[in-house]
Amino acid sequence: MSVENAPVVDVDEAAIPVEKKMYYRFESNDKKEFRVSELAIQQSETLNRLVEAMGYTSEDVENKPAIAIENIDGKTLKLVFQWCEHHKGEAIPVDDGSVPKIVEIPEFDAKLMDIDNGLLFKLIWAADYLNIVQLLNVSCKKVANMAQGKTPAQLRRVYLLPSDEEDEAAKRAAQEAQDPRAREVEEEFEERKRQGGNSFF
Amino acid sequence: MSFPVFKLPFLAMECVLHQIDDCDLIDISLCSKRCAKIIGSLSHMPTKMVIFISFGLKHIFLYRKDEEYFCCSTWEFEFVDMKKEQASNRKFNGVDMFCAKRPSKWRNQRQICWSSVQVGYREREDSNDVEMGAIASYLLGLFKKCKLHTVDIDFHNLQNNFKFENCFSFISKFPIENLKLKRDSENSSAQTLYILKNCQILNTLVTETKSMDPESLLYLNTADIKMWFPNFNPFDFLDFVKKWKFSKNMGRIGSIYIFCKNKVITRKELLDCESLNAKPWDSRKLGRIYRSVNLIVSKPNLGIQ
Repeated sequence: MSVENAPVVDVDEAAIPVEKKMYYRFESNDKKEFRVSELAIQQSETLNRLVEAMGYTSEDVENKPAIAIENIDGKTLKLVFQWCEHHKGEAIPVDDGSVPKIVEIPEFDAKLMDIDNGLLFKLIWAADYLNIVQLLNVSCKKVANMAQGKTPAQLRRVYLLPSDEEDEAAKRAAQEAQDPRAREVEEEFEERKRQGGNSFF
Repeated sequence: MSFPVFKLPFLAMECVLHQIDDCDLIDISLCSKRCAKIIGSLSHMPTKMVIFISFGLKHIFLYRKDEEYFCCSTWEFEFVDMKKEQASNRKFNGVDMFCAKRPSKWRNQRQICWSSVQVGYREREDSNDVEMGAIASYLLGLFKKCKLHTVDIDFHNLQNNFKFENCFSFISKFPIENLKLKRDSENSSAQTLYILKNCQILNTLVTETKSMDPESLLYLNTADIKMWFPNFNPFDFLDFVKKWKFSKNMGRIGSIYIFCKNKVITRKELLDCESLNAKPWDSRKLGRIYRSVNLIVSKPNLGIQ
């Protein structure tokens, strides 16, 4: 029997058992709560493993406290989950090692990332922390696009690249902060040298 | 609007940098020593450099893999009147130069992207030898895994003020894997000698230049050598073969073929067969002079046709 000749049967859609979608609750470090669908969470390898390990049931999700994500604030987490919800069910890209990576920023993502650079920095940081490959790719693409057609001097300003002198100063400061005793010993040595002592010890 | 890219976690920073085309990455590396170190340590960076030098074309190509279609950036040194508003100053190894970037090009079938930079001539000179050398040495120093794979030089009409001492001042530090020399110019003899004297050529050396300094023969030390119609005389060959046999500096030579139009060795006595531990002339080669010399350390073949 062909498909065209098959008898048409009225189906009562309400009678079909629909699997209830599970929404997990997450809490940012500034105590803002988000409800995210199970499918959307799959975009984040970190969160997906976390919820798998917890093995929550639908009741657990409602009754137990929200899962705390302590490193990310509410504003950033909102963007992350908006992105995950919009891209839920999409395949997670696999890194084929090609460079430069071929990444196109979809319209939704471009609008989502129409934010200041401070928030974009946090978004990339969050995408890296939560291991959301495609969000990391598109957000990094936006940053990479800032380099187009720039001279080294302009790049230095755009990416806040420190000069050799600034790097040197930062390194010295870090060394001093790390080992204050070494600085004291050095100062003591200099002092003795000035006084004409021929032996330090 | 600024973005502190180096303050990102390493994987995120690498993800940003891997989406920037090679010429921009090289520009970033010019900003500081730390930038150069980071760019040089990225994975998937160029591993192969090819340099072409001829009258009209002077190019440096960078490749990621051995295949030709993995070319990732091109540096063109052409007769271009660089307008200052288009160009921007960049400094490679202390050499100021005018560079203008062209948009990245995509090869759709293989989704490979490469970008190109035009390096303009300085106003006071019509040669880019210093700039070419500065860029090549900078790139080889930046990308530690990048090898100078091929240098291809066509001497025909090559500008007299294109000096190899300037262009290849770095070659004592970076061996050339394959060297090809074509045709002749006023300076080709001296310039070939300069390269052979100062650089290690590892794999193949192919020369098609007739006017070669006989001294060049004494600096040969390449696995596979083919010389087409050089203007050497029999005594030059004899000096070479003697040095080859007894010198420790020519141990890399695996095989050498020198093709000459005329019979360059007309008498057997010119080559002392016994002292060279050689086999007799091969009479089957019908009019050609063919010689096989077995050395004690290596077993190379010497063919003189």
